[in-house]
Amino acid sequence: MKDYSRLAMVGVTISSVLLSGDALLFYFSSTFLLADTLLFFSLIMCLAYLYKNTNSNVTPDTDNQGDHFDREGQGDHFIQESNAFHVQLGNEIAGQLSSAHTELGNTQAILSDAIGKLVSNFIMISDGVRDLATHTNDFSKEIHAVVEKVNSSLNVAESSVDALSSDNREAILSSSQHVRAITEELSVFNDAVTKNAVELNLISGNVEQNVLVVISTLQFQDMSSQLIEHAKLRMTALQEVASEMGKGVGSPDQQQYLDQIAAYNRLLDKHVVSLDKQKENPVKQKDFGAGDVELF
Amino acid sequence: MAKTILAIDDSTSIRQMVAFTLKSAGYSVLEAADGQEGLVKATANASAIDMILTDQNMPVMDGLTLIKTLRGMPQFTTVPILMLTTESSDDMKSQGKASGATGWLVKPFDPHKLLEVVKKVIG
Repeated sequence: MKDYSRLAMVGVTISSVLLSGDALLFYFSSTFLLADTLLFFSLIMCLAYLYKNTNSNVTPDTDNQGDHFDREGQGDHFIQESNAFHVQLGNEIAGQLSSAHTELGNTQAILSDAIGKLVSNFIMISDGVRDLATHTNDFSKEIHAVVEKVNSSLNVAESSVDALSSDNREAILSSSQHVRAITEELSVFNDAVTKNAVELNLISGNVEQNVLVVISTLQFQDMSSQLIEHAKLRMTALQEVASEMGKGVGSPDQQQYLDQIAAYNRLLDKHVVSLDKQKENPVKQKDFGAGDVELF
Repeated sequence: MAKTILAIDDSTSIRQMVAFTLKSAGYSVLEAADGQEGLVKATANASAIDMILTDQNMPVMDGLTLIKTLRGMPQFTTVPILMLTTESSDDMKSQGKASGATGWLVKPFDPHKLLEVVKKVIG
């Protein structure tokens, strides 16, 4: 704003001189009453302006001093807040690391259990398949032997049938004996087939059961891998934040503090928050077992 | 003709195990690796799909969003959609129910139980 103090001083001087002169020369005269009144008002206004201007010249110093104190106070407050933020962030990071550590511990336990079961189930499966192969081999041999016996019996029966045409009584007897023998062989054959079928069914049932357990175990292995990957990403993110925090040590500059806090926020948002949103705790189970089923 | 099931999971091994289990029972299986791919395959094979089996936590598009999107499409208003997920909280189940899911299966799945449920739902 423009300073009119000098003009006001001139106005005061002129108004005062004119009013004084008028008062001396035309006392009790109403001729110059209007002019005198105007002079009086201009004098008052000039004085008022000068008074106001004097005050406003003093006030700015006081204000500047206040600003200075305010800024200093704000700076202290800001650093306190920054420190509190650092402590809070440190606690959060420690909490996250601890949580990740616990999750990894649980996963390790689950995985150990799962791997143990997986290995034992694979052993059982391979045992089952080996048993199956051995049984199939034995069964083939057994069947082969039975078929050979049946074939030889059939050959004998054939010669007996040939002999029958000669109406030989002895041959007829022999033939009926061979038919009985064939029936017995066939009965043995049937027993062998039934026995082997039952055994094969049992073995394949065991194999199937073990395959199903392996399927469940592999699912746990898969989910555990996801969890480990999740924890690894989170650890990397936290390490990045911690590394960013480390840069700020011994740096009292307020702008740098602000930049750091913004950087922490960006990193936290980029890694930790978005990571949690993207894939929140892939494994919830604490033990090894199939999950629930619910139809709505 | 074999009934067709669309299996959606970002884990290849889980998807393969689901497909193996369903195929062993005579079902035909289509596979997708996330919600978005599932949506594309579902719309491309809308007339052939008898049931959808989806995971919840997947990149690009999660299971609940997929269900809501599919339920908004006239060709999928009645197709059964089962969730197969590690999520087991009541809150998540309620959200699934509200979104239009037909059922909720918690991983790891028991192949026998999975087949039982599938048979119950689509025969």
